Amino acid sequence: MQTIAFYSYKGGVGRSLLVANAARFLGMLGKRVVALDLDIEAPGLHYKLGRATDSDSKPAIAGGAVPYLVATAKGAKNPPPLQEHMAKLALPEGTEGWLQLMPAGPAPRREYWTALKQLRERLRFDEPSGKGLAALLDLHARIEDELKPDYLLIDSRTGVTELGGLATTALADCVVCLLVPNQESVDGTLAIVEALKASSKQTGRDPVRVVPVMARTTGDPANEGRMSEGIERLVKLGEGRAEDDKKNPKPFVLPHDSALGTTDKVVVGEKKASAFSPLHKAYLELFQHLFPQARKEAEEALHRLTAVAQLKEELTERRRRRFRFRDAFDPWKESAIEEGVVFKSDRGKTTSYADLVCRSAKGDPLMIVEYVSESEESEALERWKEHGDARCVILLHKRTQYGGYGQKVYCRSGRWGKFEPTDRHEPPTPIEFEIFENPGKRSIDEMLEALHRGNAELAPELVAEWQECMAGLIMHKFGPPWRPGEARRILDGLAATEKVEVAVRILRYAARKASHRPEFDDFDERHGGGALNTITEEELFAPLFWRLPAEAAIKYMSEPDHPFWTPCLAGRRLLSEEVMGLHYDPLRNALKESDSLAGQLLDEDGEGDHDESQRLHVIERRLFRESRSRLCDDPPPLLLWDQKLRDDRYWSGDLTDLDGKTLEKAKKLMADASQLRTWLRGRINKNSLVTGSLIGRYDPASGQVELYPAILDALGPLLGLQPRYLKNIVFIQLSVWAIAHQARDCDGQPGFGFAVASAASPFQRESPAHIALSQYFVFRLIERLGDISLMGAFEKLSEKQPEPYRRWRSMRRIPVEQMRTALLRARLGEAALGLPGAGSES
Amino acid sequence: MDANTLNALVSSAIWRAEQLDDLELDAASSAWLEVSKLEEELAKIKPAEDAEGRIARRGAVRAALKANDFARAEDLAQRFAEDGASRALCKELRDLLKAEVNGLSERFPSASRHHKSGDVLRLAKLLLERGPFLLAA
Repeated sequence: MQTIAFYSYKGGVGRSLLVANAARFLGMLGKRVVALDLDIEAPGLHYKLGRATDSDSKPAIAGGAVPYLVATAKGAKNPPPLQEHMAKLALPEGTEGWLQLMPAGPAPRREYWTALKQLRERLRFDEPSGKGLAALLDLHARIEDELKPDYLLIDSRTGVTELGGLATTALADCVVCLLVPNQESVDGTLAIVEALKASSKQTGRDPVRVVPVMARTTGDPANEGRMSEGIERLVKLGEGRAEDDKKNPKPFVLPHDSALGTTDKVVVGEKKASAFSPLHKAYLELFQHLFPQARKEAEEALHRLTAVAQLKEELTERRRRRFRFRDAFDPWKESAIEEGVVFKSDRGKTTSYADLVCRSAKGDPLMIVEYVSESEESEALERWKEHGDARCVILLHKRTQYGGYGQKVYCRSGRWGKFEPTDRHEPPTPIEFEIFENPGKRSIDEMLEALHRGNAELAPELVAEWQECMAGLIMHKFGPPWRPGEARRILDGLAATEKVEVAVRILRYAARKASHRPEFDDFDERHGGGALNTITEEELFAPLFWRLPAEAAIKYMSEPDHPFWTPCLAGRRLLSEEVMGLHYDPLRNALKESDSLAGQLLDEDGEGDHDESQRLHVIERRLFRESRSRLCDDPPPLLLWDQKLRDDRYWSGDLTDLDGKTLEKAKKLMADASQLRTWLRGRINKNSLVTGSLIGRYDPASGQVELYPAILDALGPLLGLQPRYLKNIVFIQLSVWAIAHQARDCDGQPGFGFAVASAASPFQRESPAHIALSQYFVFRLIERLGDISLMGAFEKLSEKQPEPYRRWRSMRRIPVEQMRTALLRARLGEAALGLPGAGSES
Repeated sequence: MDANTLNALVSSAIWRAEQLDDLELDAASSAWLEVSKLEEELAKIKPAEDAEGRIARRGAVRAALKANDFARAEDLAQRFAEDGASRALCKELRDLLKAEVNGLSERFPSASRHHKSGDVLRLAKLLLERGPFLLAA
């Protein structure tokens, strides 16, 4: 039997909690352990150990060390039975060891203090007859002879007392001296340790091992001054940690843990990762040293807890993947992860312990995490094949060669399948179990399918996947292989998204990914990450802006945080710079507009009543709050004109004097699907589906683009087109007009400035040449996007539009550069706007 | 001090110690120690061959044991043996010590299996002199 006394010169250092943790640790390692509470003035070990097994009560025991010694002092011939004063404490099922506690007594009940008074009267530990000493030695010997434990752990009395002295000098083979980092504690402990080291010579006992332990530390102990010298001397006299520097060992340290300190919870022996804390880790490090026979087990326990805690942290936080530009799916929620679960086999004969179980929202186990040695992996997989329905098993193990922890991810398709190793480095996230039958085998097509079903969480992952496919183009050997085919597949898949909310999320993530992230500066600059951002902006965000449902683009552009954020403008830049040859700079435009607005306000405000902040407020509202594109539910001007002309054949053609009756009639027609279809059929039959004023409108004064979704939704089926593609085409058409007004030519002057149709009058129509030109650019953009569905919709719509809308067909072979040169000349007055190949107006 | 005076002092000290013992008072130990010291003084005056000398020597050792001071009793017995006590007296004194040791062994049989009672008694004496942790000088 090895006797270890835990002593502290001052109280409140966590001594009893350390004893309780050590006892439980040894018990769980299969050792036979007795914990003896000799802190008779303030006993509490039964609370600490009692709580380890039962959260409500202390161990039910009437006896203890004090009642036992009182009975001995009475001089009874037969010594009192030891078991009457001991409590057997429960350890987890399957543990081979045992743990018994001899508390000081039933404190704080009255009978305990009565017994303590009797003890003081009848047995003095310093009496020269040796009775007190002999009684204590007898108890020690009886524990050894009758219980035959491997370890006796004594919670010794604080300070300089006879009983504390006897426990450390007469009973213990090893004394753990706890101290706190203050001068008083260090000096006092040093005096005791020196006395302990000297006592063996005087008592004739074998030299006692002394292990000083600094408790309740909040940082590194001071390394200068008297206190530091005292600590150094303590370690020299006793034993310290020598991991870092063998010549200069440091004291063992138990860091302050406010959470554990208040609960007095015994954590050692807990396999749950949430029980892992710096204090728990420090306990295990100390026990490795204190119990050399249990060193391997303590090391193993420490590795297990560290690995599981690290993985749990990884599971619950958004992780960075292999390449730093990657995001991740939503992580596991804390509540979805259960720790320390025992699974019983169907027949209930065998059990398996899982360190972590990740569950679905319904509570089904999806993923099991277990720490095993490398040699036990196949056995563990076999076990998990039988137990539960999990589709993924993560086996953690300590790496023998390179240190640290390794993890292997095994997945299967169904509950009866065999777990196959995967090439995944990171554990699957919850959504992957929803999307993939086998989370170990992810495919782009499956992800896209799930995205189209409405799993918007996949948007960031697919955008990241696209970046990973393209990264090789820029990052060369530092990046993953270039996979343009897969990148195209992702782009087309993302563009095919129907759901507006999902599409908005895609645009949001694509823009975010395209933006420069300062925290990745070093990596990006060195390995081409900055260029990857540019490619993402131009080759992913910009095409998606035109290809995703127009509602999504409009909604995204109206989000308050976007205005003039460069990646968000990539779509318009693609149209203006790559297709139309114009420079699009909304910031400069905004600046000019603000100047003009400020001037206007000054003119209006002759008295000078508006202060600067008011003017700025107006400018801010006009520039940043008012959306430049919108979906409009009002009747389109053309419908109003039509209704008005039906009622009044001699109408002047000015909508400003429109009466309420006409508006009512137009609204009624809009609301009646059948009537609206009939009216639209008439327009289709006459090939008069003009873009401006019927299905959309561009207002050069406000720069606003409007789409009429009710008309477009009704028109789609009539043309045999999906309304979403129709909306895209109209959005592009109107955007061409907007860019023509807002962008600037290569000489810095405003762009083409096509004259638009008036919203007020049916008699002021666009120039056919302008229409033809804008259609040419629409065609060029769609061609650049390579979207067959859009091209089909464009062709079909233009067939049912007036003649100028169809001229693009004859102009399609004209190189865009030639077209731009012609436009520049026309603007400069060198030639009429007789566009090459545009044919004559009809 | 002459023998008569010492005899008178011893008699009264024994009477007092016995009274205190009966009352189970802590002061009994020091009273017996006083008896032991007076008997020791008497032993110095009376030779060991003399009956009175034998009684004083035996009384000094017994009183030391009654005072729970085994180390003193052992020391006295050793000294008396060296000073020419008869073989019979030496045996008698050893028996007294042995009885004390046996008493402790009988009372604490488990402890006696692991520790010699004499060592226990000596350690107790050491702890008494030097205090807890043997810190006192």
